[in-house]
Amino acid sequence: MLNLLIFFLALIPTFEEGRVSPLKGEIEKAHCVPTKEGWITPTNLPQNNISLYSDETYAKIKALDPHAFEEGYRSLVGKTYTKSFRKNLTYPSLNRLKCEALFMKAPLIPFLFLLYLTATLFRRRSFLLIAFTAHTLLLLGRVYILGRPPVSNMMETILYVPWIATMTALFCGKRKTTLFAGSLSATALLLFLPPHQSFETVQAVLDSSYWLTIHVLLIVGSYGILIYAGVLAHIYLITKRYFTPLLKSLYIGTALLIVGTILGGVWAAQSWGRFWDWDPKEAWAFISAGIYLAFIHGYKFRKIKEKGLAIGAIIGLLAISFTWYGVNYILGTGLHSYGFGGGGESLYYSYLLLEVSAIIFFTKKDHLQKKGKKDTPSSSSEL
Amino acid sequence: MTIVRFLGSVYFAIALIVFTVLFVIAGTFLEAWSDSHLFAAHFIYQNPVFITLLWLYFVNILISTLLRYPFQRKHIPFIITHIGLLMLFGGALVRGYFGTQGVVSLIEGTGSSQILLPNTYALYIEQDDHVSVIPIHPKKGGALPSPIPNLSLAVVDWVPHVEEKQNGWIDQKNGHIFGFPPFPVFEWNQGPLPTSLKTSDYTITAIKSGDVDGIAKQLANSAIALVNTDGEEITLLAKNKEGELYQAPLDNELMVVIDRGYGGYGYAANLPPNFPPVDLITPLFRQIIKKPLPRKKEEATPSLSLLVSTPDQAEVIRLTYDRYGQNLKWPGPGHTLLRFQPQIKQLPNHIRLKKALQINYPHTNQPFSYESELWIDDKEVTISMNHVHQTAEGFRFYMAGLTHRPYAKAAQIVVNHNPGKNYLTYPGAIILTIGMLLLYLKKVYA
Repeated sequence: MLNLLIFFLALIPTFEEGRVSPLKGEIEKAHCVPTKEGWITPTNLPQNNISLYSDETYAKIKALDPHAFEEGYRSLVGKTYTKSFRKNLTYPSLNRLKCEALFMKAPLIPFLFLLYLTATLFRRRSFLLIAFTAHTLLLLGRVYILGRPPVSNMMETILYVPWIATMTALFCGKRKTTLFAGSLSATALLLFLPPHQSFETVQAVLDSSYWLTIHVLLIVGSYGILIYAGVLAHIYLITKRYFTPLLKSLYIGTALLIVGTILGGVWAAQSWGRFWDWDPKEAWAFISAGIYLAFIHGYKFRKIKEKGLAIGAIIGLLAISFTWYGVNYILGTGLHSYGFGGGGESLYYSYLLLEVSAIIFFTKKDHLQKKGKKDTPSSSSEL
Repeated sequence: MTIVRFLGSVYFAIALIVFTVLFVIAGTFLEAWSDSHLFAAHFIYQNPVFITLLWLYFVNILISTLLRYPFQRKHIPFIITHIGLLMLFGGALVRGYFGTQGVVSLIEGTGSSQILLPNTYALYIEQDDHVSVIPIHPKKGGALPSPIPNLSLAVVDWVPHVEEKQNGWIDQKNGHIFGFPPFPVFEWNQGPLPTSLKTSDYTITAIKSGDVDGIAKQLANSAIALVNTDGEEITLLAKNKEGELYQAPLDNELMVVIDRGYGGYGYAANLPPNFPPVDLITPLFRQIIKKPLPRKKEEATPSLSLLVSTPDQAEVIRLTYDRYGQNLKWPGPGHTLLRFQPQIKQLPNHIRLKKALQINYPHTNQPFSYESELWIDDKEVTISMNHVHQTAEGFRFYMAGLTHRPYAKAAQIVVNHNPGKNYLTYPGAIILTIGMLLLYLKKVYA
């Protein structure tokens, strides 16, 4: 009891004065290790000094009774430490902290990558289902820790997009190759993630769970579907098979992209006071949607054939890659500045070069083959 | 009919998409290169060709829809989608022609019922209690409509970008102190100090020299020296009767407004209490330097020369663009005060900023929330990013930014009025969403 009393004396005045540091995000400095008693020893929670006492005194208080310390922290859970208009920051529960510590300590991303790699190599639906389930749990864990949709920065979207790509693959058919397209998309994207994803605080302008859920989940979700469609388009151009899942994913992806962009306009009208102003991110969403719409209309009105649409899906993929990565990392200007960063440019340019070469190759391939067979139809009508 | 069919055809739609996409790609790269949205807007998004392309989209969608008449059941998703698109276009047009978007920047405690319209130009002219704001077309010279009888206004020169420096005490040739004629400025290396002018208590000297310590040693008792050390920095040196030295930079912090600005402005310098008091006030003079136009158009500060004439007086006044409409108003003939600023729009409401807040994530500099506590007329409201306030008249107040001033904070509040939003833009967005969903469900494309 005495220990508990001392602990409260240590904490409560500091809480009232609003000088307690937030625990979220700082736990990553803690050395939390799995033990027989559980994942983390109570003395490691919280690791940093959250009182007004000196570190030495604070360590003594903690050492008196680890259980009391945990109990003491429990009394703070859910209490507000930063208040603002219509939103507050509160102390997370112990379980959330433990979950965060687990995410920081355990190599979950490399583990997920290996699962997808296995699914890609063995082309088994069950393997892909296992990877997808693990991926779902990982995303749910992040939602639980962060208390918001896990799509508020570039790295978070790199975890979310392959999940959507895999889900599309699982919905779009049971064939090994279409599943392979999904697992390949996921494997390739997860390569870009660091082994431990940090938990960053959300920027003030993005801090609207409502719109973040509607707009960003839709838009970034469409990236996942369209990336999957891009991979399928390559497969179609090589094998001349699996056109229906490609078509389906193109329709869904484009619809989500357009709807998400328009709802983004509604958010911009709410947050910035205008619906549309050709901000680079908006402009590239328009470009991507325009490219997909042009090819879809061309196909629907029989101006191009399956191959033309598949090439359109690859051109669209290039536009999507630029909307997602290029605007933030190459252009680096505009109102969507919360996603800006740098790095990987040469890799990206190499990818663009390869993809453009592939488009030229696929465009010319049939033409050359038919020329060899002395067949007459022109390449444009074949497209 | 062939032309109409072509305008509603898929070929035309695809051609439009290709051209607009190419335009927009160029726009985004231009924006990245110049770091200026206005630059890209000037060359691309406000380009008549681009605007024509957008209008042609409207025509294409409209005709392609009408060509399906008489409509069949299978056309429903197509029609719904295209009606949604038309409504969005209509919303953009209504906003462009009838909407308002402006900014009001308020320091805590201050209020306003006017908003500034960014990137527009106007002449603010004040005569006693009469205030007018006349719109100006950039780069277009000639007479302006004068709101004041017997006063004529004409733009005689326009410079796209200038830098304005405001200074006092010593200009290129002379020293200036109110109450005295301009006095000479001496170059000094060594030896006794020359005298520029004399008052009852002090002799005053204006010197160009980097050797402030040398001048301090040479300075006689009951003397003041204004030392221009490097062209811009001016140091005040003074000695009282007892030979006590006072040295301070003239940082122009004490501004003097003469006759509410009609008499101009000045800077004052004070001496410590152990010195005999003297009125040291210099007129504020401006140096306007022509500069090459910056790539970032948002940073361009144009300047215009205005010929202001009354029946018995005419004067050319050069004004520099004051993008926030908060700087000094310059005196002109006919007892006028003038300022070159953005156009303004009167609001039906009066807003006053009670308090502006930036709340950070604890122990970081990362903002968690920006908030403003406002009085809008008699109503107390709080706005923050993602939480706007809309008045009964349909004006919406957005928290756009916050700046820290020495003694108070200032909030930048975007005020927006879009009459077509609730009838066209938002319903259009919903209808388009429904249409696209139906397109997929009905497998029209498949």
